[in-house]
Amino acid sequence: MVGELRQQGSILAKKIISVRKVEATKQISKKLHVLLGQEVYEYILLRKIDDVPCILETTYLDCERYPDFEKYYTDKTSMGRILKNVYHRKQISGEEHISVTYASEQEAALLEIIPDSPLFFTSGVVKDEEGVIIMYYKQLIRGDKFKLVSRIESE
Amino acid sequence: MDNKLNYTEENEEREDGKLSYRTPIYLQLREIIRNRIEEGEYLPGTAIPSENKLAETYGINRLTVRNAVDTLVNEGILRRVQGKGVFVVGDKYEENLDEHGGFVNVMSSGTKRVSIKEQAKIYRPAGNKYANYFNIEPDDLIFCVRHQITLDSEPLAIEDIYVPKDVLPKLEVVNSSVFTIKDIFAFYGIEISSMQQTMEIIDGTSKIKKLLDIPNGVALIMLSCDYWDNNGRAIAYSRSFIRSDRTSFTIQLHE
Repeated sequence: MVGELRQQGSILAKKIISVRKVEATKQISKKLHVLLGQEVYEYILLRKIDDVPCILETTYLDCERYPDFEKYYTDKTSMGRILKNVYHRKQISGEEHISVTYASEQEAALLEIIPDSPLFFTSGVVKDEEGVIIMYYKQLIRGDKFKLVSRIESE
Repeated sequence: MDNKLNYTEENEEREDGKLSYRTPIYLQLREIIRNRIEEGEYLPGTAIPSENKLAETYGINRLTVRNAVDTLVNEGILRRVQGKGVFVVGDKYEENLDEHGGFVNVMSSGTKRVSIKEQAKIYRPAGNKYANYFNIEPDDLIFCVRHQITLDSEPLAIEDIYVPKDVLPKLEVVNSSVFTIKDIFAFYGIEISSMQQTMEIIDGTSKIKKLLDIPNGVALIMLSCDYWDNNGRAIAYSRSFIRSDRTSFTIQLHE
């Protein structure tokens, strides 16, 4: 998605709204494959395209596997590049679940839309080349700004 | 029952590979059906005559017909579809497009029954929009079929499929609600080289919303799919309108 948007000449930006270390809940531990209660980073970001807020994203990473991550990850740096260059982990594959939800008051305020506007709700995990889960994410994507595309080529 | 005699009869069929009048009737019928499939009389994607019809035609017991059909179902050559009949399964590609590639529909609960009904099926002139899309003339015929998809008898989705007639002339006789368009193409030797699925949240016309009985405030998903052959030619297009409250999707991501 990022590559295609750049091609269209769109300006992508992100703002980290919140970053904290939290204890893995049952859901986080199941998705991230970490122990219940394990310390994980929780990043909440707002992604803007051409200055229009489009995606509200929450990402979880294991603190133990990626120590000092908060030192490297800022509004200006990319998670993928940090994982690759600092931690030598490449994002290879993943699995995502997609459904439709409706913006709460808080989410609508952040995304600058009317409450109850329809959003794509995607959540998934990203794995490295060894099949180890790197991150667990949830995204709320504006339905009026985005379509999801999947292209399959035969081998 | 003389078990020795039965064994010999079965054996007789296998040993010399030829049927004889003494071969069990269900095996003889099996071969009749198999030959008709091989000779193209029963086409892939179409239903064979009903068990009652076959029983009547050959003056045999319906149970015998069922046994014959069962053996071919077990071979994967036929598929039983409740309420619709018994269909010929064609050859599928072993690995062409990743079966798990793309958006996979996840029903709200595994115990619910999905049913697909062919609602309308016609040939019509392509018109400008589809002539442009398929790179054919506006007067060329395209095949259009509408599927009504329900989940536990409640409306879930409406799917419209468009295929130029010259791409697959036999599509008219195939039951498109039993097999996917991918499978049907494979049966008839048309290779899909790539496909693209696009999912959007849309408003939808009041007609579609009414057909799907969508409550106020529930979003409509439009899932469209483009299919291309090896030459980059668009060979099919489908567009589904799906109730977002009754389903969700998963997708496998690759680098």
